[in-house]
Amino acid sequence: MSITSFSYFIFIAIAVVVYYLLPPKCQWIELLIFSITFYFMAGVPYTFVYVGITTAATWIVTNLLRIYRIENGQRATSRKYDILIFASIFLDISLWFVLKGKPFIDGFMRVFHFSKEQYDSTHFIAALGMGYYTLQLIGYTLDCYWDTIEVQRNPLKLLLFASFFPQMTTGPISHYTELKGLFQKHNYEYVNIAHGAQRIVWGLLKKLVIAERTGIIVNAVWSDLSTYNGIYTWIAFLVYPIQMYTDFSGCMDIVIGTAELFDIKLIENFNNPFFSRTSQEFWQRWHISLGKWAKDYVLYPLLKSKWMIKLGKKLRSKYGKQNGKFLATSIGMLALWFVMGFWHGDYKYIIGVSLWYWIILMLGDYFSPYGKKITDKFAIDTDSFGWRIFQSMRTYLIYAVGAVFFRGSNILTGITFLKGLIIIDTWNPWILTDGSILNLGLSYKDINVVIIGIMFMVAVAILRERHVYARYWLDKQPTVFRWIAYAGVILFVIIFGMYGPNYEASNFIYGDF
Amino acid sequence: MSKNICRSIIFFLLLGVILLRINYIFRDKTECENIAGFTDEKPDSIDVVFLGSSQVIVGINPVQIWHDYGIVSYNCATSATNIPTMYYSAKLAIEKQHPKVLVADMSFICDEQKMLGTERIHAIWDNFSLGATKIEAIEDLVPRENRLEMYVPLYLFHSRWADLKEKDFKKINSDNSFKGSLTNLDYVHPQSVMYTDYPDSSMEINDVALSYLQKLIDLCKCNDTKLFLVAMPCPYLALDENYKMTLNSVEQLAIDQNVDFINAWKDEALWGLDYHTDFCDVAHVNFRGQKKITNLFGTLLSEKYQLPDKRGDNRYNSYTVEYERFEKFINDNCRYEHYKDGAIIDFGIETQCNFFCNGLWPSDGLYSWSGGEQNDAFFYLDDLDNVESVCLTLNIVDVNTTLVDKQHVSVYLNGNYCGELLIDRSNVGKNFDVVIPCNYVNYNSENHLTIKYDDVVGNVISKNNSIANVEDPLYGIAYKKIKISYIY
Repeated sequence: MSITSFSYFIFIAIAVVVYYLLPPKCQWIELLIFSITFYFMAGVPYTFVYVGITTAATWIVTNLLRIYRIENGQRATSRKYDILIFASIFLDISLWFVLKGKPFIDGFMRVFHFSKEQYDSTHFIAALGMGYYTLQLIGYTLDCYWDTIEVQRNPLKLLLFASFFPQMTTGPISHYTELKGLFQKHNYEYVNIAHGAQRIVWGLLKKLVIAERTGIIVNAVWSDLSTYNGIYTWIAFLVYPIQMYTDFSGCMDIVIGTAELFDIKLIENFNNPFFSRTSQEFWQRWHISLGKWAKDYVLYPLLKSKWMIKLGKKLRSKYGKQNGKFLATSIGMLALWFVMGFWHGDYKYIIGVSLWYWIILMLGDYFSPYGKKITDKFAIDTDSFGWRIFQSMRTYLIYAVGAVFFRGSNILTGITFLKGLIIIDTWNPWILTDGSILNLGLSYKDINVVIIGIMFMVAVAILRERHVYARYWLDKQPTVFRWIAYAGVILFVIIFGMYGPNYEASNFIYGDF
Repeated sequence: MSKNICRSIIFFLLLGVILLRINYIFRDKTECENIAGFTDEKPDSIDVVFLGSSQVIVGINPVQIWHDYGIVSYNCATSATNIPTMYYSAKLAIEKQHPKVLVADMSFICDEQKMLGTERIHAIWDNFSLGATKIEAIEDLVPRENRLEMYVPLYLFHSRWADLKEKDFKKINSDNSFKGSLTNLDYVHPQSVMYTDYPDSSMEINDVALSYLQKLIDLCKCNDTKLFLVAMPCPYLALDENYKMTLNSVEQLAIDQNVDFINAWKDEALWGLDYHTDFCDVAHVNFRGQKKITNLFGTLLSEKYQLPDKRGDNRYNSYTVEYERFEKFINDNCRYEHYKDGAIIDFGIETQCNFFCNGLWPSDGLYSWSGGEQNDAFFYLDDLDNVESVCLTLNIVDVNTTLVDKQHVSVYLNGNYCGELLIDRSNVGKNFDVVIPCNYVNYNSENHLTIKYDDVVGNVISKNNSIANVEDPLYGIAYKKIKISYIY
């Protein structure tokens, strides 16, 4: 069951009605039952065992620690419990690696054997949303260990935290504190239903109208790079980030909207990323929950660790205050970005996410004083619209380069593609005017729909920048205007959405992680 | 809180109305026109409903029946309709009209599948509003993954947004159909022959078709509707022995269950079809064939079932109006015209003859000329006072003589032999005159000109003595135009 399918909407409609009819005390049980049902319908049922194993291990370890601390005081720990906690996290990561690490193993074996043959290790069927719930449980374990949260005593509640159904598809990766709403009592409120439904429809618009169409262009080019070269490559290069954003954030809108129907606020995963002026800002607006997780559970603990502080001191004394600090941060950031790339589950992401962004951010950090000097010298108004557009476009292009490794099947194809962008061996700009571009699978009417859809998105994004949420602005508008807007979006999705019995909607790109 | 809910309900009601409208606009209107008119008819106003496949759509014309016999009928057939679909269409039709007679075509009796292509089902059932029978039909016949599109056609048809035309925004009009029937104006000679032996042995009807045929028989009995089964003429099925043997089983079933059955394959004389003039393609009759079949049904219906003659009843004015429209349609569109002295009959395409000669090699050894043996033209001639004879001048565009050096071509007018041409390659581009005595000519009705390729050596080739490559054109002439001159 895909979250864009008709059956999913029937499913959540039933779940919501039951949810508010039940006594609030039992609501979390209903959510758990529906989450497991969803899992069985959307994933391979037996793989739920993996969710169970990880949750059970986490529950046992954290509760052993809790009991130990009752006797020995808060924050008390011992070597034995350190090892237990470490073992629990190690189990989480190992299970994830065994089930999802096939690309790492195959790639490693290929290099190790120096063979050109594709090494094919055993393929396991991973659990649904494994990348997401594994990180949640690791975060939860660490929070318990650091005593920043209260340990959950009820294993079923912990299971619900791990398997809450909307976020099983593509996250967000929530901290335990952010999901406390799961276990609280909720009364029916009209506004939750209205806002949840609006959010879902908006997500459908992004996914079904824009992502599916842009995907056709990108797939056409990528499926035959020898035919589609020159300007075609650039088209695919520039369009892919739009596909990625509409696909991933569209899915997030559906997920967050679904949770909202149950009066549960999930954290935002996107905040107009393409409005970012720098790549650093971009990652505060793009896949926010992954970045936040990596910061909270990798970067900060690392920076706060004794040996890192020691190393920092050493570096500062050796290379001077400025450079020493820079080097220390670089090491911390390398760890952060490594985790971010590694989590995606293939070497290519370590290039496209980890290495690429680490280099870009470190270079940016190092050269930012020089950049400021240049803008000062040429008297560039850094708040001017033109400069901001330049910065946003730069950020977009940087993202597009990294995204090539998401689309390419491996590092080599990614690099070949990038090479094709720089060395344009076939100079064919006429494809933009002689109709060749229509051979990619989208008619000019479809392209118009994409353009209108993107204009729509930009308008909403601007409203979001100004009003936190576009709907806060919309809520203040007269009824007739609002109704026209709602009906307009709904009809836009129904008519122009790519769905139906003869259309196989593609999977969510981030559904694989 | 209740205020908000009320507002939501109003919003969704309004949205629902818009969606219903959009659903209608986006529906694929192909082939649904003839059925759309049926749902607009007043309940219980129709005495005979025709069901079946395209052979019925083009074969039986209710407005002609109305005009000639005063029987009120409607043609509810749809392309390639199999027995299960027909059963449910019958159920829907009976619920609405309770007809006295239901005519059901058995052309798809050999189809073993329950499900038709969904587009066929849409063409039929999208016209009926959702009710118990429609739900039953969908749940029974449509695979689970296609059911949603049957309940909400927009789910499938929303992708037509880029193809919408003016007619999509208007009420479905049945301009091309006359109480459900369609009329073909083309002449094409069916590729296969009818004159094969009819088998005596029977073949069992497949389980699916049989069970739904039985359901159909029971349904009609329950509702006091006479069921009249028919195997429509269809040259395309001529060589399908299994089909014909299955029809024998249908006949037996009809006898056992006391249901009427008429079989075009057995009673050729009764139908009186001419396979050179009455078809528009290998499976369907044209307006000529339609007239013959319609007459047959008019006679049979009025004789067998004593259906009332309702001509003169004001409630059926629409039938009279439709008949007038039909008559005008035929007069406006038919190919035959009045030809004055010096006029030229233009056949439009010159390659016609060559095409027919490129036939397939039949397994039984006799080359059937696929209709290439004959060309027909229909026309009215001008007033023939003081005219002694008419000279028809054929302009030979091409001659194919792979097997024979010369080809005899006979010319007939209204069945009368008028002369013969001997043609070979040297005749290409030349004119040939055929003089026709004026007593062969019809004054006030159409004239039927036949140009027939005569048997010559090599015309009939036995399987064991085959002398031609299948791909080769055997022989043939191509003429595009005939000039008509009057001789005084």
